[in-house]
Amino acid sequence: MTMSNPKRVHPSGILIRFLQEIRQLFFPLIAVLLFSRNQTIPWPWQLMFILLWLFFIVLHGFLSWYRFTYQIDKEQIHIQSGIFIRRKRHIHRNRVHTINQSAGILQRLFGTVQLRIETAGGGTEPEVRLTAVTKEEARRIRSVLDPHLRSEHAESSDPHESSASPSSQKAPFPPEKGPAYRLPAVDLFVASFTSASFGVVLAGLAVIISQFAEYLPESFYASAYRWFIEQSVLFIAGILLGAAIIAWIISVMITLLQYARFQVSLEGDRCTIQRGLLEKKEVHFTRNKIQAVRLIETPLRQLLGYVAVVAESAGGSDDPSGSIIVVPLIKRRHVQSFMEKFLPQYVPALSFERSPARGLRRYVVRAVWLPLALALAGCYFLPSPWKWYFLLLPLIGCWIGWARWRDAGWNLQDKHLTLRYRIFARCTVVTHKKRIQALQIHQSLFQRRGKLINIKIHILSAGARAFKIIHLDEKAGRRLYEWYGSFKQNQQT
Amino acid sequence: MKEPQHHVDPKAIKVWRIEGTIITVVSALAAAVCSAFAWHEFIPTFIPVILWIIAALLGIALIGIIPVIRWKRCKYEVKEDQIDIQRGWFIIKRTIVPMVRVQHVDTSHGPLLRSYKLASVHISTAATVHEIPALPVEEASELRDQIASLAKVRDDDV
Repeated sequence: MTMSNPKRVHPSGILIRFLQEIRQLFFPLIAVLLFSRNQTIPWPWQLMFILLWLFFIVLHGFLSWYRFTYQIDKEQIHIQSGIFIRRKRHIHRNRVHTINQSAGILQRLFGTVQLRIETAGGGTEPEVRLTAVTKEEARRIRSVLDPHLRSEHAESSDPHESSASPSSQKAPFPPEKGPAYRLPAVDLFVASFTSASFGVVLAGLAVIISQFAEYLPESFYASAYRWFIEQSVLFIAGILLGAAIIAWIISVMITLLQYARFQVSLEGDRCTIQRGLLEKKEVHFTRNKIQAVRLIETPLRQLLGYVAVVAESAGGSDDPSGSIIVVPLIKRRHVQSFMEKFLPQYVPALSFERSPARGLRRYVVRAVWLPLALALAGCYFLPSPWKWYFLLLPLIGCWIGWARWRDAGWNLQDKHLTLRYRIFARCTVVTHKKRIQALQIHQSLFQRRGKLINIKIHILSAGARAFKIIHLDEKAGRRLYEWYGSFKQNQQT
Repeated sequence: MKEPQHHVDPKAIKVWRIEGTIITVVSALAAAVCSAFAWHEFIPTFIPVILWIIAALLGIALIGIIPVIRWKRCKYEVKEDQIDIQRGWFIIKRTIVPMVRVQHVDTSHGPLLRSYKLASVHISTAATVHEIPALPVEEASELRDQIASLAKVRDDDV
C-alpha cells in the first residue's frame, strides 16, 4: 500500500489553537481579575495563577497538536487524536460530503489553510478539522478525498505530481471552466449599507457591556440613573440614535469585510464561492445537492431594486442551517440571466397566480389584530401625546397585510414550482418537483366557506425547511395536488 | 379532490376521548386548586370561574365533539407511488408523500393505544415525519411492510 506516514498539522496549529482557547476564556479571565480585586488575595498569587493557567493552555495546545495525526492512503483518511483518551477515526472518501477550505488571518500569516472535512452526518462541527496545513498539503488531501476533484483526477496515481502548479487559491484542476461572477463594488456597498446584521451587532454590544456591568459598583448605577433622569428627552434620544448609528457603522464594516472580493464560479457541476477580505472563506457545493433557491428582498432592498440569492443545500454549507448565500445582493433585473447561467434548474417564474380578492380581508385581519391590541393597550396606559402615535400601528398592520396579500402567489412550469410570499421581506422560492419531500394542503373550516386553502411544501436542507402560502384559491390546491401526485409519467430524473 | 379511501380504526375515537378526559381532569384539578385559593381570598374570584369555564369547554370539545369529527376527517390511502393522508378537525391537512421520498417507516404505540390493540404508523422522509394514527396492530405492521417494500423499489437521489 502507498500509505504515507502519519503526519501532524503545521506547527502554527499550536498557536492557532492557543489563541482560540485564550479567546474563549477571555471574559472568564477578566471576571476573575475584577472579582479578585475586592478579595484579599495578594497580587503575586494572582500572577502565579494566571501564569499557571497560561502554562496549562500552552501545554494542552502543544500536546493536542502533538497527539493529533492524520494519515492519507489511497482512499481514506485516518485520524488519531486525544491526549489521554486516544480516538481513531477513519473516513472513506466515498463518505466525504464536502471539504471546505478557509484561511483566517493567522493561517494566512503562515501561508497555511484550514480544511474542514464533512460527511453526510448532521451536526454543526465538521467530522475532521485540520487547523493548519500548507497549501500543497491541502491540495494533496483534496485530490484524494474531495468527491468533486477525485473523479477528474483518477488517472494520476501519485498525488504529488499534481502539486506542481502555482499555488493559487483556486482549485488547480479545471474541468471545463464555467462562468464566474464577481460582486460589483456598488452592489457590495449597497449590501453593506442595507444589511440586517445591525441587530446582531447591537445584541453583541449588549452582551459585551453586560459582561462588564456585573462588576461595576452599586453607586455607579445610582449616579448614572440620576444623571439619566436629569437629561432632556431630546438628549437621550440623541444618545440612542448615536448608539444605533455606531452599531450600524460596525455592521456595515463587518458586512464589507465579509463579502469583499465575493466571487461565484462554476466548474462543471461544482460551484465555488469565495469571499472575505481579512478572512478568506471558500465554500464548495455541487449543484445537484441544491434543493431550493430563495430570492430575498427586504423592504429597503426591494425599494432599491435589489435581491439576495440563497440556496438551500442538502450538504456542503458553512452554515448549519444549510443555507448558502449564492449572491449577497444583485439587481433584480440581472437575476434572471444570473440564474440561467449558474442555476438553470432554478430560474424563477416571472408571473404568478395570486391569492384571490376574497383572501385580502383574511390577510389584513391576520396582520392587524396584534398591532390593534397594542394600540388599544397603548391608548389606555400611556399619557396623551404619546398614545396617538400608537394609532399608527394598526395602519401599518393593514399595510403589511395588504402587501402580503399582494405578493402571495405561485407558479407551475413543467416540473418547476415557484412560490412567492412575504413576511416582512419578500421571498421567492424556486424548487423542483423531485426536491419536494412532501406537499401539504390545509383548509380550515373558515377557509372552506371562502373556498381558500393554504399550501405548504417541505424540502430537505441541512435540517428541514417548509414554505407556506396561505389563502390561495381552492383550484390551486387541486392543481398542485395533481401535479405533485402524478408520478407514473415522470420517472426520469 | 377525491378524499383518501380508508378510515382509521373507529376505536381511535375512544382513545382520543380518553386523552380528552385526562386533559379535562387535569384542568379541572387546576380550577379546583384555584377555587381553594380564592376561597381563602388569596386571589380574586374571577380566576377560578374562568378556569372552570375553560375546563367545561375543554370537556365538551375534547370528549364530546372533536374525537368524532377527527375520526371522520382522518383518512389515508397508500397507493403504489404515493401516500395520501388527511388529518385534522378544524384545519384539514392533506399530505402527499411520494413513495420515492420515503426514507423509513415504523409503527409505534403508547400504553393507551396498546390497550386497544392499536398502533400508529410513522412515515419519515428526509425532511419530515407523517403519522397515520390508530390502526389495528396487525394492519399497521402490514401497512408498514407494504410501504417499506414499495419505497425500496426505486432508488432516487435526494
